[in-house]
Amino acid sequence: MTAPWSHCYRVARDKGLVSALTELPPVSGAGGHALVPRGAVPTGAAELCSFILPDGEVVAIKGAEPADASSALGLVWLRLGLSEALRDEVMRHLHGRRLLRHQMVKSDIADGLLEHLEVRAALTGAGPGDLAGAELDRLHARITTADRMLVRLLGASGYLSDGPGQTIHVSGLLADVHQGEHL
Amino acid sequence: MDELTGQARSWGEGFRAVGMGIDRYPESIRKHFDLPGVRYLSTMGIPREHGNPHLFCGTTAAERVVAMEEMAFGDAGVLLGAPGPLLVGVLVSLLADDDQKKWFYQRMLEDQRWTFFALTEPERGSDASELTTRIDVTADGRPALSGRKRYVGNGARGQVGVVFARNRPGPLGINAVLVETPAPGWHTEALDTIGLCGARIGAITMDRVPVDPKLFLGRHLSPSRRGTWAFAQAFNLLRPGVAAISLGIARAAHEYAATHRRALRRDEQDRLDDLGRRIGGTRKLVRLAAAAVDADTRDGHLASAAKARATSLAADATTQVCALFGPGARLEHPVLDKLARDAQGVEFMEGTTHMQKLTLFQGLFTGKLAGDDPLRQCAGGA
Repeated sequence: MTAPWSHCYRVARDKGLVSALTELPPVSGAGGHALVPRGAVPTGAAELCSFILPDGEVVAIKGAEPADASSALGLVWLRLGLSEALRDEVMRHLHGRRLLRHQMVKSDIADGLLEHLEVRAALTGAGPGDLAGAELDRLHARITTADRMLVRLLGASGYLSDGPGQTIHVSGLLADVHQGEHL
Repeated sequence: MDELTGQARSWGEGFRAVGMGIDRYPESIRKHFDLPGVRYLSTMGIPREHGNPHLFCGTTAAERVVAMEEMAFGDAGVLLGAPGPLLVGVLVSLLADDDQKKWFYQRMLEDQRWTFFALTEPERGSDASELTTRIDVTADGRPALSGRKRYVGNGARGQVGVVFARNRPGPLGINAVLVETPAPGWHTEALDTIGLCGARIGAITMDRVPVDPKLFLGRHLSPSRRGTWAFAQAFNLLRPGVAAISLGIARAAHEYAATHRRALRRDEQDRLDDLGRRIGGTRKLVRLAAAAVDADTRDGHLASAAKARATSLAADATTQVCALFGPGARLEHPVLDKLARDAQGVEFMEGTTHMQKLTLFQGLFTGKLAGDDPLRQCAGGA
């Protein structure tokens, strides 16, 4: 995990979304939107809304430099880290409630894990620009699928704006902002 | 691997030429024993030092996934219906002592023989702990097999194979025994299937079939090392190959659409392109899974992921491609219909998707599947 574009995976997994975003330059998607930490809002950028997450505040803006290949790859790694951290949280949550013995629960967790493994396999060995934009879109979509499956397992606690569901919500916004950069 | 890929692709072309005919008349494969791919499969898995004449011996999962994807891209039914050591060969390589290896490899090298891997039972499925097939000692002091097996690939025509049976209750009582047929008390029946007809699965009934005590696989090992522990490793080694078969089927469907439906709407082209990317992503997972089991035969979690992923890919690919051809596609395009039927059949090989998911969950829960970097062993992680 020493490559710069994958370093933010580790930070996302261990510290959270805002901390991981500080590892990347503030970059926008094809529509000009960007999600950046509060302290990294470029001068003159229009602020659209903001979210308080466990490790800080993230701001949605319009007006940042377009993402380069390294950032585009880093964002997929970042979202993978968040999604795997969510999986850890789900395991802890369900283990504490003795719900991990149910086969349907096991199956849902395995489904999330399968998405993670496919994304990780695709990212393994890939450097900036190696994966086409459409492939990065596909990987973002797989992560979103995993997130939706896993966050449901937290029950209503995953729907609270001060819980892990909020991080996943903002991660989904990141995918939304950066989709179709190849178009 | 590029050379193997090129060779296997040309073998697959030979399979495609005869695949539809073998699907209809599975026994017609006997007329195609000279196809280069069939010849290769006849000895795939036999080490060079035991006389394998081919440049690529197929003794590693990494080699097998490359060859099997290409051959299944040609035709999965021919691949599974061809004679050769396949599943039995992997088990022999893991468990057999030197004499047993010589016994098995000699038979496979002297003629093109079908093998059978008789594990599944009519009422018990493939759970080795539930096996009821017995090994009894007859009046003359020799061991003999009694019981029933079902859904065994090439079961009705297999000439050499392995039967899983128990000589006492409990997990340590499970044995894998090499058997040669015909044999007294050995009866088989072919089972017609919806797809993968070339594999000619069958049912086997054994009534005091005499077996040679020297042919109990792993007789030089302790019961705990030759029982379910060893079988699990054989399945780990085989599972990436099964995933590669699904991958080949998915690719064949994708290629069929690209070849036969040239004028696509933008949304249709997008879907087809996305399918192509999904195939590429799954191939990467399959290859990493093969590398993982080659590095450590106990590490089968990625193999489970690859098998589950590739099976659903093949089912989705054939469905999506049929949809591109509109109403009646499967009736108008027999090749597509065959691919759709074949894709469904892989689900039942080497554990269903439900079993793979339970394996994956267990790996995660027990920490055997490293949550932080599950691919580090096979690819150095990121």
